[in-house]
Amino acid sequence: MRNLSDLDAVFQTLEREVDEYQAAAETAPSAKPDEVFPLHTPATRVRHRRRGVLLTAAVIVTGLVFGSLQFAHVFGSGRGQAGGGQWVTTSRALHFSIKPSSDLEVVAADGRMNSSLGEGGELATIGGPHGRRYYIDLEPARPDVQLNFTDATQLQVQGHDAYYGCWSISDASGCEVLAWQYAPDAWVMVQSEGRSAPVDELQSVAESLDLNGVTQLKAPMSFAAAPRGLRLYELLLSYPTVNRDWQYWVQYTDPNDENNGLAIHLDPGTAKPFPNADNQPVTVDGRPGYWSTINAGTLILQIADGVQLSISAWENGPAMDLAEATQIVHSIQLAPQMDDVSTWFPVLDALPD
Amino acid sequence: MDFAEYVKDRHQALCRFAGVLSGNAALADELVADVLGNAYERWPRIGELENPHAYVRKMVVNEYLSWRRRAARTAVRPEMNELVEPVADHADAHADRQQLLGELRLLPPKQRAALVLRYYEGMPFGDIAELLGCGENAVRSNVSRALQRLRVQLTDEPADADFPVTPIVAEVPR
Repeated sequence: MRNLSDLDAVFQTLEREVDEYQAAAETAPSAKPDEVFPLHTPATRVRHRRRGVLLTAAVIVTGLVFGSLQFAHVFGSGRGQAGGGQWVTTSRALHFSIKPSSDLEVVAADGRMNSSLGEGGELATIGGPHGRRYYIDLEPARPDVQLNFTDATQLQVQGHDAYYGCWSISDASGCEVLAWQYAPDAWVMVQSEGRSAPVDELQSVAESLDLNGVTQLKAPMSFAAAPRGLRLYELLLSYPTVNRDWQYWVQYTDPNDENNGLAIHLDPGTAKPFPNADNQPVTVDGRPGYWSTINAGTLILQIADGVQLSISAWENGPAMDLAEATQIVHSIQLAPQMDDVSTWFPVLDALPD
Repeated sequence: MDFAEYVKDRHQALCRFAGVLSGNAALADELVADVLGNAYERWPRIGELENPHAYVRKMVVNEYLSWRRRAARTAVRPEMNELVEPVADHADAHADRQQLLGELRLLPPKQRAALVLRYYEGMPFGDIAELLGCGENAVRSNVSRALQRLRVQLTDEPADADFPVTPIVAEVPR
């Protein structure tokens, strides 16, 4: 029998793990976007933050923790008005692509997450040289929301008036944001991920966007058809970190049945059985793996050398059997090499209505 | 207290708390970053609270429980292989600690949260109940079950007349 001192020792072990993780994260170099991809084990890390709504805070927090930013301006000196006195209203969402001349690329997008102004926005993450990443925030129709820029610098982006500075609404705010009104009631925000970016850098990113285009999502795999005919629910291409390799995962769901869903995960490594599950060794197309009934059916497969794939049906939804999982595997196309764009797909196909 | 000051003072403590709570340093890092992001957006209000840390800690717990709900749906987490494989040598204290660590990581999230708040944070049952949004009896039950599963005996339990005195002898089947 154990006692509380044993439990306390375990708590201390976990504390040490956190301390070591934090120390490793502080000293690690950044990775270039292409180092994420495709099928090798990178040795470097950067942090990945998917939640664009938190970007500004994350920048601030990171800056504070690593001692590189000042906080004095965060809340400003009270709410002012952009460019000397303009209130603006946000409205409809946009889609965009990256101009071919740019060295930026879209690495993630999410149409259902919280945008800076609340639910329902679109948000994409793009990667650039030297591991730099930016959030492109496309604001939805929100006629009730008025953006208010505090002490903003006014400039031009693609021939439109733009503002760089701090914005706020009634219950949210952000700083170091470049925003411009692309069309009547349509706003785009550009922010840097994880660091402070000067206005000219953000302006360069903003100029590289083609707001009439269609965004291509960077993805190391694609499907011939959406699994089960479901709708993409979530997509994440995660950059390598000190403690974790790159990973790519997508979830599909039925808009009319929130329990019906599939989680599909691709990451470096050797296929391992699901822990504490009824794993059966299987072979799919000559590739070894494991099948288990965990959740509503889970297939873990060595889909390529050094790459494992898992397909799992959501636990409370319709069951997936091995035949269905195999069918999904057959529909998968893996990116053959780093620069191959054949598996990228248009964001318009990915985002929910 | 302004946000910068709070983060400077409490960031590491929050990360450790989140690490003990989640059993995963990387996840703890993400939990805290997300929570601080949310907290920053609301700081004008949070900062005026009598105990901002208690509020932020509650946000961490909520985020953790929320993450666990999502993770339960999305299933495979390869690193779990390393977390849950028990070490067989019970004669060795280190091995037993590793096994206890693995078992702790397998606890249901609410049991784990209750246990961590009780024995890591040292919170009274009433405060834990308030934080978790449940009744005090439910907290006591969760803590008791967690201790049973971990086979931890309260021989050195701090004096607490309200704590159940039911002997812990049986291992609850998983």
